[in-house]
Formats: sequence, structure tokens, C-alpha cells
Amino acid sequence: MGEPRITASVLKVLAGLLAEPGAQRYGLELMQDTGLPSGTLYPILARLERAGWVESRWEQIDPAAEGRPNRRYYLLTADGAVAARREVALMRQQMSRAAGPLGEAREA
Amino acid sequence: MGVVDRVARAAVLAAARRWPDDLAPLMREEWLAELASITGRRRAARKLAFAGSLAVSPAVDEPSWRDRSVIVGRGAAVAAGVTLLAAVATNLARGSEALAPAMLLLGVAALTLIGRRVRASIVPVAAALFAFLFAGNPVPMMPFMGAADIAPAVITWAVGIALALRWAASTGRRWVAVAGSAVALHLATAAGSAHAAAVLGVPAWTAPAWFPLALLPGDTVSFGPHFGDGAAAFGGLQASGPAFHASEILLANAAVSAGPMLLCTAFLLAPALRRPAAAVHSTRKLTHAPTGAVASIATKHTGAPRAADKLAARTRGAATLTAGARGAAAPEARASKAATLAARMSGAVTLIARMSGAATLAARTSRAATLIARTSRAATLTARTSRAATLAARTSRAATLAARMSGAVAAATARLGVGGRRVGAGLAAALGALAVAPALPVAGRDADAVLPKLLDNSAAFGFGFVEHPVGLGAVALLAAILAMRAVEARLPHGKDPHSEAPT
Repeated sequence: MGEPRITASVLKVLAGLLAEPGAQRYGLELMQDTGLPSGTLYPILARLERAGWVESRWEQIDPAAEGRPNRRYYLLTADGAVAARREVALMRQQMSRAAGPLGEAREA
Repeated sequence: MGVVDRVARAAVLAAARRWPDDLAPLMREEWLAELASITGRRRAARKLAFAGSLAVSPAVDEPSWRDRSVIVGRGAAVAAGVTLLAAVATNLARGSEALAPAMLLLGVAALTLIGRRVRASIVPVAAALFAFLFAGNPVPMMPFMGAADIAPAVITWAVGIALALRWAASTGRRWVAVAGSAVALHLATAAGSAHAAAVLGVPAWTAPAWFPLALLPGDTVSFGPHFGDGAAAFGGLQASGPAFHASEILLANAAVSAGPMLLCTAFLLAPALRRPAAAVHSTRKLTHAPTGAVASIATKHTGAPRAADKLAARTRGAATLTAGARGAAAPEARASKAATLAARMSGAVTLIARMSGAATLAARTSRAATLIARTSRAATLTARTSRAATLAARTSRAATLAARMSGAVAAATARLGVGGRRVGAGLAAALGALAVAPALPVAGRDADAVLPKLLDNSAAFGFGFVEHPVGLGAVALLAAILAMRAVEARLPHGKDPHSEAPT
């Protein structure tokens, strides 16, 4: 299981999952949080799951009672949370270096 | 279920089918569940956006659109380059008149060699061929080179080559690819010339001969109606010249597409002709040859004991005769027999003496032959040594020169860097294309001058687009792209960053 290639879209997904590390996040929710279309989001989730950074589970509901099928939700694994924090921190560091004093002043 | 739900569901199902087998059922169920959970305002638009994005986006293991565009762009550049090269070679061959078939064969060999190193698929080559044939005739000088003539030819050719290659791949027989492609070229030429044949009144049963005759110089074979007054109309232009047959106009038109199609076929077939079957076949040949040689040597060696057996048999006969002569002393009747036996003995002795002489002579001859062979080998060895010494001296000089040059080139390229080398190669290629392209043979604009060239099947065609600044710029850009790609491919660690799988 190799590490996934980190792109801007992958960072958005990781940041979205890190916002509430223990929370169950559905695909539609992540689409709204990240602004990514479904065609971009689901391949990223599949790669993160293959890498062991993310795991998925099926919602435990009675479809007949709810009137809709079971949804699949995603959450970060322990390793995934560590790796995600590392990558997001690395990106923040790079961005702050690129932005320079002006960017730091704005941030402050 | 409304129309929107049906459309969205169909798009999601289609998208899921493109995913890997282990994920496809999971993704299908997940997406259908998400679709069902989309409610509230603008739900129709949101459902369509959700499903549409999945339908048009690459699956998890598929290349991204960016990578696909890079792949398609490279394929298109190679296809355009190969088509232009095939067209240049065809025009040069047609300009050489009587040498045209030999020049075309050289072109076939060259495009085959290129095809072994560079790959392109059939569709972009066919598209480039169509574009070239269509754009290469700015003045309607060729009477039957419209889209209605070119499109059937190129489509038939592309389909035929694709079928031939697929058939060859499924059967593992290389000759199927060659034979199928030959059939495709015939059919494509016939399809591209059907309109001309109908207008000119050339009988359809001559169609199988159009492709080979189109590659030959004019006046090889003439058929169809005879135009005695030598008047012809090319688009809006009128021309007059010597009397001609309809076949000469038909074949001149067919040749324009037949030549480039032949050369592009050689390029596309080249990878299929390098099957492992070729290696197996040559291995078989190699294993058969030594077996034959050994058998031949063995036969020669078995001949020697046979001769020895014959000699021994005759010697044994002489000894028997000698023993018989011992008992021939007393009776008179036996005297005659003894004389006969003595005569026979004498003959046997003579035979033995002759055989001995022959054997001595043979031995001497053999020794002389061995000596001559050794002398010859020594002479050959001396000559080889001399050549090797000359070659070594030349190699040494060349190596020294190469070392000096490579040192200079390495120093220059090190200063330039990878990007600089690519840009330099691209710039040089573009400037070269700008200089060479206007000199390429183009179709003439004078109808009276073109008619005789049509009749002797030597009319140049295409490259009319380089007379326009946009066309010339496109050729220069293409040359630059191909040169930069070639430099990139030759870099030791020149792995293309775009080739990595996207995340």
C-alpha cells in the first residue's frame, strides 16, 4: 500500500475529513465541504482507502423505514489522521513561505 | 420515477461499470443511495450534476483528462509528422518518374524503420491523412480530390488496416497483417476512385489494377474512354494538351492518396511485424542448418570407409588368386588355368600398384590442398588483420574526435540544461521546417502545366497549405514539438512527469 500522491484536491478532502476526525462523512457532505465534484471526489476517496488512510462503513438503518437505501460513510483511520495532519501542515508551511511577510501579516 | 431520476440513474450505472470489478458494485450502491438522498430545492439539477460528473470523469485507475489530452496530443503530433513524411516521400518518388517504384520501396523501408521506434494508432494517422489530402490542394487542380473522394478512401483504409492488425494479432500470423493490409490498400484505392471512374466512364472491373498501376509511371497501361482532343476541365479551370485515356486521369488521382497510404501502412504494420514468432522461426532455421551440415559431413565421412572396403575386397581377391596358383603345377590342363590365374594376378598386382599410386597422388593432392588452404587462411587472416588494424586506427581517430566533440557538446548542454536542450532542439527544428517547407513540391497552379504531369503520373500534390502563413506556422510548430519530444525521450532520466498516475 503506497502513499497517495498529494494534490490540491486530495488536501481538500483530507482537510474536510480532519475538520471532525471521528465524524462519519458521506460523499455528498464532503462534496459540499470541499467544493469538489463527485467525479473528482470518489476516485480520491477510493485511493485514500486503498492507502489505508480512510475507511468506509455502511450506514446501519432500515431502508424500508427510512424510505432510502443505506449510505456509505467515510472516516480517517488513526494512521490516516496522522498522515493527513502532516500533509496539511506541510502544505501550510509551504504556502506561508510562498506568501512571505505579507501573507503572515494577513494571517495575523 | 421521473425522467431526471432515470437519466441520473443510467449515468451512475454507466459510470460504475468503468470502475474496477472489486469496487464497481460498492460504488454503484453508494451512488444510488446518494442520489436517493438528494432532496430539497434544485434537486433535479443537483442529481444531474452528481451523476453527470461521475459519468464523464475517469474512474479510479483511469488516466485523468489532463493525461489523456497529453497522450492524444502526442499521438496526433506523431501521426501528423508521419503523414507529412509519407507525403514528402511520395512526392519525391513521383517526381523521379521511372524510378518512382524503387523510391516508394525505399520510403516503405524508411517508414517501417520509423514505425519500429515510434508508435501511433490508426485513427490519428487516418485523421492526419484525410486532413493532409484535403488541405493539400488549395487550388482544385486535381479533378477528383474532394471530400467525397478522400473520405471513402481513408475510411476504407483505416477500417481495413485495423481489421488486418486485429486478425493478425488474434491468429499470431504476421502474413495475415501484410495480406490484409494489401487488400485494404486495394479496396481503399477503389473506394477513393469510384467517383472518378463513374464520371470518366472507366469500367469497374479494372478496379483491382488501380492500386498497383497508380504507383507506376504513367502510360504503363491505358484503358477507358479516349479523349482525342486532349481537353480537360479541372474544377473551374480548362486545360488542353495531348490526347489521353480516362485511366490516366483516374490513376493520377488515385496515386495521390495511394502513395501516402502505402507508406503510412508500412509505419502502422512495423510493430506487428516484430512478433516473437519471428524469433522462433529464425531459431528453427538455425537449428535446421547445423543438422543439415552435420548430416552432409557424416555422409562424406561414411564414403571413405566404403572406398576402403572396396580396396580390401579387391586385395582379398588377389590373395585368393595367388593361393589358387599354388595348386596349378602338375597337370597340363592346369597350366592354362595357371596362366590365366597368373594373368589375373598380374592384373590384380597392377591394380594394387595403380591404387597405391593413386592413393599416394591423393595423399599428395590432399597435402597440397591442405597447404593451399592454410596459405589461403593465412592470407585471409593477414588481410583481416590489416583491415582490423586500419579500422582500429580509424576507430581510434573517431573515438578521439568523438571524445573531443562529446566533451564540447556535454559542456554546452550542461550549460543549457534539460529545458534548454529541449527548447534548442525545438527552435532548430522549427527554423529548419520554415526553411524547407516552402521548397517542398506542390501542385502547380497552371492547368496546362498540370495536365501533362497527370498523364505521366508525376504530378506533385499537397503542401499547398505551406504557402499560407498559418499552414507554414503549423508545420514549424509540429517540427518543434516532435524534436522536443525526441530530445525528451533520449534523456537518461527523462521520465515524463505527466506519465505518472494522477491522484
